[in-house]
Amino acid sequence: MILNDFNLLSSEIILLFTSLIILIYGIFITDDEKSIKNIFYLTIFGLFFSLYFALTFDQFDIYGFNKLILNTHFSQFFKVLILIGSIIVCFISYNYFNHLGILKSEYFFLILLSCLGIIIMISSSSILSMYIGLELHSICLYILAAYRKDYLKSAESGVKYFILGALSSGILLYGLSLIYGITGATDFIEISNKLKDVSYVSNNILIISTGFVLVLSGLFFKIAAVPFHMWAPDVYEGSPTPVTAFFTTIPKIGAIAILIKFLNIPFESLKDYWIQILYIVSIISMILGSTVAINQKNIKRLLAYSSINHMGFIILGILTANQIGIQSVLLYLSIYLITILGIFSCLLCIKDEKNGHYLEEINSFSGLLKKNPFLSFSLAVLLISLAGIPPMAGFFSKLYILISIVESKFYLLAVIAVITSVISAFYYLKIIKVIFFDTSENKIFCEITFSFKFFILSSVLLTIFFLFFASEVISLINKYSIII
Amino acid sequence: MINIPILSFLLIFPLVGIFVIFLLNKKDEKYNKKVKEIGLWTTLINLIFSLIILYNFDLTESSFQFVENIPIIDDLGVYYYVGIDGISLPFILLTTFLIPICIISCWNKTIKDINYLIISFLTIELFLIGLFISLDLFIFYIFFEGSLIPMFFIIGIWGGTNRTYAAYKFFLYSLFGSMLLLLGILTIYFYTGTSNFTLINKVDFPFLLQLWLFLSFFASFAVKLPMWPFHTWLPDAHVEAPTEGSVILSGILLKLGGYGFLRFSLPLFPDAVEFFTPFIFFLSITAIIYISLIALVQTDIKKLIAYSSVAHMGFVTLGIFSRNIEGLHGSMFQMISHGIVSAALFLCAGSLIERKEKKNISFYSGLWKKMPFLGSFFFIFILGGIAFPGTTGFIGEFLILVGIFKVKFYLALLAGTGIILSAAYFLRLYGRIFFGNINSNISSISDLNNYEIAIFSLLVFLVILLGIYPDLLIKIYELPINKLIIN
Amino acid sequence: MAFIVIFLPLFSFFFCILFSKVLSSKLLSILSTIFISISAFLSFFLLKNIVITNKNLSIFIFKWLGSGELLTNWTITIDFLSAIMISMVTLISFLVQFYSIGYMKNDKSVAKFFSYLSLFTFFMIFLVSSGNLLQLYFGWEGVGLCSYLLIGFWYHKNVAREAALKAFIVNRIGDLFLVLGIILIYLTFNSINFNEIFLNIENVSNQSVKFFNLEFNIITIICLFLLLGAMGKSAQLGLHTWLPDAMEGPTPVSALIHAATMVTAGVFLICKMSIFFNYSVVASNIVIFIGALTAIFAATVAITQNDIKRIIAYSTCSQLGYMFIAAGLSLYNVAIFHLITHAFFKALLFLGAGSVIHSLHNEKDIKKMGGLWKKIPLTYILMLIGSLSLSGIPFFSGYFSKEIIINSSLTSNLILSNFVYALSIFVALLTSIYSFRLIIFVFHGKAGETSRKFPNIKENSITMIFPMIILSLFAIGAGYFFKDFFVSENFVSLWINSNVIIDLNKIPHHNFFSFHSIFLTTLIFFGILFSFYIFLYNKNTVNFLISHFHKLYVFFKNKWYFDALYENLFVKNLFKLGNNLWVLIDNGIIDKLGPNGLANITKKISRLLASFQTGYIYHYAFSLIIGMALLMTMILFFL
Repeated sequence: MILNDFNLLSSEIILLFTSLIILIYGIFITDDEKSIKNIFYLTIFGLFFSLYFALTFDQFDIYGFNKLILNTHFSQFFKVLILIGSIIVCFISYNYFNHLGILKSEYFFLILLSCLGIIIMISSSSILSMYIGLELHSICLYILAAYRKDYLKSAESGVKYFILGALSSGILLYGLSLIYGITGATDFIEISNKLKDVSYVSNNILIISTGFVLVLSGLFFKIAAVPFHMWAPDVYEGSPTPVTAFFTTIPKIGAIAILIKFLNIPFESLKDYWIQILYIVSIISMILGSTVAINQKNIKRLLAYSSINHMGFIILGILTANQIGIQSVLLYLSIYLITILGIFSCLLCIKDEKNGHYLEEINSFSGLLKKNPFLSFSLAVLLISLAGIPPMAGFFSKLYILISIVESKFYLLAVIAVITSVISAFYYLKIIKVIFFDTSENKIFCEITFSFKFFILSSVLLTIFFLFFASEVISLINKYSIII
Repeated sequence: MINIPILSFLLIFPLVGIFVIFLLNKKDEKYNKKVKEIGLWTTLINLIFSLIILYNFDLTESSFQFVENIPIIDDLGVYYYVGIDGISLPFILLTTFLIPICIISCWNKTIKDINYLIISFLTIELFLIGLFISLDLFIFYIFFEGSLIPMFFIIGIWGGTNRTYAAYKFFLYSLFGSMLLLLGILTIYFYTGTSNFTLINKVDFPFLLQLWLFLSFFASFAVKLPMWPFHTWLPDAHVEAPTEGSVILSGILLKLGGYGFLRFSLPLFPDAVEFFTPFIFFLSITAIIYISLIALVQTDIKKLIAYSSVAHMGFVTLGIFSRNIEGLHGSMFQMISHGIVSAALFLCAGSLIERKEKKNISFYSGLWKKMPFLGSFFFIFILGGIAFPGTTGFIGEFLILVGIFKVKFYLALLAGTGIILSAAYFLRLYGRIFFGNINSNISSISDLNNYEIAIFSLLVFLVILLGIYPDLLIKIYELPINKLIIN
Repeated sequence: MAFIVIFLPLFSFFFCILFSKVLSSKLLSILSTIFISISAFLSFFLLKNIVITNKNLSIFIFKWLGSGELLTNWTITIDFLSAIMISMVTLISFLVQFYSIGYMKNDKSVAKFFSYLSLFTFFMIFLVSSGNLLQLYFGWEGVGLCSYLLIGFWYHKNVAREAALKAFIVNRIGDLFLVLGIILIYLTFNSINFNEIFLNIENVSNQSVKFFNLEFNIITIICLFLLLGAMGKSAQLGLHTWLPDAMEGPTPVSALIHAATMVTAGVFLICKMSIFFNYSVVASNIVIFIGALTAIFAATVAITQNDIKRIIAYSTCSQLGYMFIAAGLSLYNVAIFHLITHAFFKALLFLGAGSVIHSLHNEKDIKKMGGLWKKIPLTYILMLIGSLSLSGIPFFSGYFSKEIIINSSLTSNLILSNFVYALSIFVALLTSIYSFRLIIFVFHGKAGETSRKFPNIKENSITMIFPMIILSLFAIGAGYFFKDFFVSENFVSLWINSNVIIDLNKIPHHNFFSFHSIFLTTLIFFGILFSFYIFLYNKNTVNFLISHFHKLYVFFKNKWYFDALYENLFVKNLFKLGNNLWVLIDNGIIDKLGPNGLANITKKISRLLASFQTGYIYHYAFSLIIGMALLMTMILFFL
């Protein structure tokens, strides 16, 4: 019986063990090139292994560890997404840290551990396991943010992230405890059963809603939705680029997953409330994300704001609170993951010729077209896709979100979404403009290893030709978008 | 009727061309030439195929032909549903005709990154043809908005000094319009449960919904057309764009609006059209007179032609919304003829500007002495522009006048002033450039080369031919247009 | 045959264009003259056949425009009226081309010149031989185009450029109304082919149409539209301003286009649509009124001008006025009669003026000429013939046509008839005065400065003199020999066949000794003598008159201030308006509030929001808390 439980957690356990092995191995070896490479391979291996388990997993909807864990199609989808994302991140981060000379075993250890935390959070079916997973990965993220200790900004971002993160998880924890206090249950299903009783809810609505809002705020902080977004730009800018790539994708996906779960399982009887909240949050996230990004000079900062805008879109999908809404979110996230990682892999190929620093200022990309058309075109395609212009994949993700909200008759939201996406098109075009139109030649040096070429090319091709296999993808997503 | 998917070929060839160009070896010293050749051949093949289509096209059939229907997104019920009728065929021909001309016109110029330019041409041809053949709203939308991207690059990379601003203005303005169009399409999709045009055509929408839908479609078509007061992007775009860019822009892209009105607004929202007609008339008349007056005082050749095309498009909307046979025939004809004439005018202006790198009219004077060939061609195209009988321009504007006269007398009178003004600004432009005493600026200017002469004679031939025997064109679109009026 | 007559000029046009580089310009000019001569020659046979067989000839070429019920074909339909016009046009353009061989021989681009002339001839023939209004409009615009090209022929002169532009635009204004008229006809008759509309006119003759919520008789409206079109082409008062400026073109052009053929197209149109005008009394009266005004206006101005060509141009204007009067009196045949005779003597006068200018090396100011009759006697005689015929001395061609018009205006039963009579008599007087003023200033008196400047002024080559001699023969004889075609019973059927209203009872039987004829003749003689007196023998009278009627003189001198008025009222303001629209509204309002405005607003907002991003942790934490509080209050608010 207990073995069966472990069976449920196979991929998590693999991650755990790999990370522990790396930790131990890391203690004994000196950080020379070779052993680091071994660790790198080990990490990749572990990730692939757990990905394999995640893919081949077939015992759905069985509770494990006395109702702490529940694996559903939904959680499996997210697991796979996250594992793939982490693999790519590991690949693209190797060169970067190697070049900075701070490639240590901890890095992979942290990545794996945070990955583990997120996966646990996703497959959790009780507020306890949810919180454990959340904390586990957040702590790793704090360290990752500050990973470039010698670099002031990195340290600063680490501190900021840590303090605010701690605050938010405190809030979240408080909310959870309130909920537990009032319902006396930790399990999602039980909570929802408690909350189905209308009179019960209306009697102590104050506490319930307070706890609810506190938890929501904590989750919003994770996905950096306005007004809980303040940390995002600084942290994204400060932390090392691969880590930023990690931040923009993996934890957010996890947080979205748990947000959906949390809203739709324990609290789906309070729909009317949280729809209102999400309504406001999405609107301000979209607006702020799209407008503020216009003036950004640093591309990572810009991407931070653009991700805020995207989160706004995703929240739109969530607040429809129906099947097609969830589907659209899943689609959006998958495409978002591919596109963003593609962009970051492009950025990680572009260095300054003189001092070999990785370029982050947007204006410094001018002349890339001359230097390396492949990168420029890939960036153009991916950015246009982010802007959501057909026939790129990004359009379909936006289209689906719009479909879901028009279907549930949120016309105002639709209009705002449209306007903000026009505004956001502006700053994506700004990057393209710098690359393609500006005549000033900047000293740029590009090195593209095979893995990078592979990732970039595949993401570009997926983005361009999404139309041709959209049907399959969507049918797949339909299968996996059942929450319970 | 042949049953091979011939329409899809029109889409496939440019794609193939693009890939071949990507595969070419850049190190090759004849690389640029090869690229041009590939581009030219692909577009020519497309032209030939479109002519084959025309040959196999059944003129006695008013519904869609060469239909292909392949599911793409089952979940949404989106189909790759394409087919053409008499309304879309002329536009396809126009596209497949103008793109090769653009490629020829940049044949022996030294343009930076010519390969990317050719790629953009092929892409835009792909999108435009796709747009004209698609009968599924979503597919239409994808092509409609996709066509912005290559144009954005054409203006932005090969444009003039202020190109970035122009490119942004063009892109964002159109994007905004088409986003609203998207919302409209979604609403239709949820109201009818399908995005298939022929099915939607059978549905009739409640009046209020029609109004909203019409507005959402109007938003994007009016920007594309462009109608007053949504026209301000056009002059900038034209002035900054390279010659070929202007040719495509004014030759084809401006027609998307009119095409959209004919294809969607008129059949789908009859009541709303009824309701908004006075409003549209007001805008069109304003466009004609106001814009013509502005064109009168322009100091920049390309800007003048750009404004003139806004005025001519005003005629098109007048004709469409007069909703009677002459009006619709007229505006259809006007669109095609303007496609040819304005393209030709921009080519002329281009071949002048590329010689001297100066856009302002006052720079040139007494050019006739130096460039009699350009002078004669330019003059014939201007005749087309001022609706001189015997050229294409006349047929369209005369029919439109007839149509609008049927509706309201004074509208015809006001529109007529537009014809007078067009004569004023075009002939003034011509006089100031080609007549008058020769100034020193142009002492060392050479007349047209053979490529240009070839292109221009071809265009002249078309202008005159369609002018004296318009039936060639009218026959194609007669039936579907008449069907529009009946229901 | 008709085919050849019509398309030979077109062929010659293409011929000249294509071979302009290959063959010598001399050869080209001769060839194109030959082409025209052939078609002129054939056109007489055409006329002869029509007269004999009295059958209209109609050839279908191919379909032109078919849309809805609107169906137009390219056709050639030749009836008596068009046959006359064709032969006149071809004849005169032949003579003019012949003349131009000599006149233009020193010009650089002779081929272009001849090609344009041929093209013009083609368009003119096409106009008069069209079977429907749209094709007529095609020719109508075509001749306008050629006139534009030929006025601006010396393109390097800015004046020429402006004149050409002016001519085209002013014509365009008329043309617009012609188009509207055509459209209205189409909407009323569902056809624009002459035969059908003439057949159905009874049915619609008393329909009425609403414009600006006022009821009008539809025929009247149509006629007024057509009239406005005609006024544009025929330079009637209001739309006349282009004609004098058009004199910037080469003189043969003025002779052909701006005297004989194109400017008479308006008269031709009215006569062609005579059935319509016959139905609407209002329109006819307006036609008379316009004609009379134009006649008096142009005559008064002509007296005060000094540019030899402009004088003749204004006289053309006033003669056209006569034709309009005739048409208004529904003596369409007489109008055509005067058209023909006028064509001959006015072409003669222009060519004469041309040869004067040519021998004085492009001197146009008559004040600077004088005493030339000894040096170029042949030209002198020819121009004298022209002037006599113009001012209507008996037995010269001008006399017959003009005399009929004037006298029948007396007998007609119109409200205006007496007024018109008085006016036309007076104009006749003025005509004789100004035409002889010209003669005197140019040929008599003592030599002016230019005449002195070139001592060895000699007669021009035969190529220039010969056509003038031919024309002079017509100018003398045309009236007497041709008048039966127009005003005798034998040929009425021809006119009826070509759908022209003809009513001989309105025309007083002509005899030389009727009171009115004698009165007119004496008046004209008096005018001639008077001008000889004041301009040659007793110059002070002129000065006396000028000083005495100074205001009037200035008024005439400035062409009744028409040009100034238009210039200041329309042209300037239009440009000002355009500029304001562009700068203020297009760039000012639309762009500022539209795209740029929105962009700026977004930028502002983004700056504002970005300013919250202070970088201080406590701010961040604060916003976090605030956000939470807000959400909380929201929830509570929704309770």
